[in-house]
Amino acid sequence: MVFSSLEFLFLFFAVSMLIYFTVPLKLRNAVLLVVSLLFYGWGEPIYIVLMLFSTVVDYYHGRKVEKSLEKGNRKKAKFHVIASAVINLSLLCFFKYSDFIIQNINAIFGLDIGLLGLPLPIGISFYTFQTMSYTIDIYMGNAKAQKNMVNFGAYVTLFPQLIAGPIVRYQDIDDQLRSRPHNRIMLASGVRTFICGFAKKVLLANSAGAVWDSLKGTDTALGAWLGIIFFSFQIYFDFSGYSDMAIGLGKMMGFTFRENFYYPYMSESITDFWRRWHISLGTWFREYVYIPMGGNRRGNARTYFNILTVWFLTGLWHGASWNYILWGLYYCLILVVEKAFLLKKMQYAPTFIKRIYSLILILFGWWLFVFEDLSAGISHLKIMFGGGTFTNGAVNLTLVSNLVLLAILVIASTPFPKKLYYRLFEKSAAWRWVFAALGLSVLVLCTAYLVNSSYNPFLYFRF
Amino acid sequence: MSENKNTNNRKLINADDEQKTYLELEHRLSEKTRSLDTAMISAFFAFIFIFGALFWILPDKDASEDENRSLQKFPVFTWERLVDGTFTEEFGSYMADQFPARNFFVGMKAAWETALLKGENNGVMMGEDGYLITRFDSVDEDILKNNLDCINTFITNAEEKGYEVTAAFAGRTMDVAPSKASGLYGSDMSDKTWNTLHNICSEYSLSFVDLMTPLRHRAESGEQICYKTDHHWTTLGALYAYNEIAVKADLPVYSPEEFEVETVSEKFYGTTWSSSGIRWADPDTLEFFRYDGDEDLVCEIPGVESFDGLYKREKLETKDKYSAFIGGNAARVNVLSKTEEREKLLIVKDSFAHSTAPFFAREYDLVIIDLRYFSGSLTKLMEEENIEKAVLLYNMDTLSSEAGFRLFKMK
Repeated sequence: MVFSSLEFLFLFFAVSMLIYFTVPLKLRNAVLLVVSLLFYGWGEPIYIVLMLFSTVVDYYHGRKVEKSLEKGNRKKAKFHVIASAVINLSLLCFFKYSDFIIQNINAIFGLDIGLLGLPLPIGISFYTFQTMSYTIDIYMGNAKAQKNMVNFGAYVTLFPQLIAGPIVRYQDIDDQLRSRPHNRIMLASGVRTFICGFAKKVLLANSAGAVWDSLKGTDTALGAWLGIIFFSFQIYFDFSGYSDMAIGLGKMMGFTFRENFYYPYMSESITDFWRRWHISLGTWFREYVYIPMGGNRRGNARTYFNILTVWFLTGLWHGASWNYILWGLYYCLILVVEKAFLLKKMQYAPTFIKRIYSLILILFGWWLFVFEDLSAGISHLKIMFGGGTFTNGAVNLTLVSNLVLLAILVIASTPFPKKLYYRLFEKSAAWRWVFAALGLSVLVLCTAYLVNSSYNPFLYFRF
Repeated sequence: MSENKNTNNRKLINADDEQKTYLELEHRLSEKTRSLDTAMISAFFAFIFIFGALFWILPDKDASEDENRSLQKFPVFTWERLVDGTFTEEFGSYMADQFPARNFFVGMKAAWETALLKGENNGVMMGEDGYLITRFDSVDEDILKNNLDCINTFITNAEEKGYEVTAAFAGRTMDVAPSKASGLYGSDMSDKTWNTLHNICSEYSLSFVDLMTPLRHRAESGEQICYKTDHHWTTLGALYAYNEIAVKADLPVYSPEEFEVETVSEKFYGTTWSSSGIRWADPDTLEFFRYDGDEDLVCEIPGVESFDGLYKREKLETKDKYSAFIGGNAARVNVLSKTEEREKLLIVKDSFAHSTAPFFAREYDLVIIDLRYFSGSLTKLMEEENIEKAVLLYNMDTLSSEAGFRLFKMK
């Protein structure tokens, strides 16, 4: 199930909250576990089994790691960490990458091995990474093993961030699983954050996406540029909207998840961009891949190899297709160049130049990202650079009729609205009431968009 | 007035910092926001619970009159359908279609899109003079080619057997009245599509009556050829289209003055009104062009019903008023004279032909076939019914969409 649907808000969420807040505190994690499994099973019921399997495997290994450490047997502890990682990664590989691997083997050796055609278990990339963080955190001494299977199950299946992140590290949530504040302040804050994310997804991302969708096959340069620009907004507001909804839902139930986005289109370099975009994924790769591989402490050659590995994997994580790998390597190259000398050179450049530099590179990044079919991507690129006509009536109308939307998208990408909101929120009670009324109106408007939705895609089915 | 001088003007450095700062602010103000928070939380959950409950309580509807389509009912539950995702997918449509106050929400979305100066909603442009015009920004050449191939096959077969077949293709509103579309849209896409059509037809050496160009001339010189809120042509437009066909097919040509115009509705809200959600648009006027003797005709929909005259007037009481012409969509309609024996004409068509039927029926008995629903053989039908002449009348929308010739292709 996805958040941006009527059945989520008016059926699943309504009933879940009713039960969650009726039962005593000690049963709430159990409720969370059960409703999360239903949430997960809504689209693909059989994969509930997969999720339960992951839960049991990681629970077992977590306990084993801790016991071995208590006995001073680091070697055995390490064995259990590796065993759990191997199982998790095998599942991920099997469900997500087997067809991709078969296709490549077929292409290289001229074979004709049949594809498995397995539907990708929704959110598998997110929860696999979460559960892997669990055993590693225990091994590193950053968290204690969870003795209660229900609490652990609630962590693995936690519906707010199950299907599209943020990737919550176990160490960040360990204490909250035992006790967390269920109060009015968290609930109110959660409602606000949720509505904000809901609006980002339903009003902004879907509208931007509809424009991109209508321009996909264009043969005009203006249309091709507009298309990629609108896709850039679509993916940002879609993804950060999902994260906000997750964070908001979490807050309502007393969890504090870390932010996943920080105005990525305000970046002053690509290095900066990756500190602002999908922060939880970057953190995960840094903590669980880059640093364990030695980070930058083993000499230049090893550092660059580590960076390359991380970005190859980051690309691959986004989907089982070469364009995602190229997208990862593209960023790898830019980051290495920035690290080697460009950041220093750019230091004194005016901020707006740095932002334009970053935005152009990010835009071409999205071009690589959005076309799984490389030849379609190349023909789109050719059209961007004059391979077709400049414009036509349909594109002109699309541009003009979406100018207000474009302006909203630009402003919403800056910190300005949030800053203004909190400044006025702090200033007077009148403003706070205005904002509350506004928030609820936005919720009603989002409902209208879902009732009469012409375009409401789920972008992460490849993740 | 500022209640708290301690505004945090410090520059925020990253996401964690921002989150912490604002959460602290919310906590700091928490004493002051008690009643506000309570009211907001209550309203939020009240909205969700009330609409969630109403959804189950209110009875399901079969169809939406405003939107002119049938609505999704509670999906059939089987374990297979659950496992393969069909059940949950249909449940999603069920919830959207049967959502409480659906019409209100549909209108609300359209109003908001208008407020954003989008000038369109759900793919329908708000054009000049109150025209609601569906935009088609691309054409699928393969589908167009396939459909024209079907038509060509039929014509070739029929002509080999000595029958006389006239094909006529009509424009959509954006083709016929481009100046009524939003200013910038122009006729680029329309011209491109029609060029494609001409190219494919000359490849097949398929000759057809172009109904778009002459009707566009008429529309651009100020006559109302297309409805403002419906995708069909007006009865006047239908007459002009008939005349173009008549010249080619050797049928009588009529001028508008030869008919007595009966205004049957001044509150006709058509298909583009339905899909656009623009509920505040002005309605169209629906006219019948009457002539002596049209009451002596009878429409037969085999196996369903038959009614006197060319019009099913009960339809005028519903929203779907255009269906009054020969009773609307059916696999086959026969229009016969009760008083005399007449030559028969086969019309193979989409719904654009419905309002032309009265003109064809003035001198001929008609057998009207819709290939979306009719799966028999057309040439065999002509043999059986002793028909010598056929007219194929299709609109660009049907020509370029998959469903139009589905059953024809299955043969």
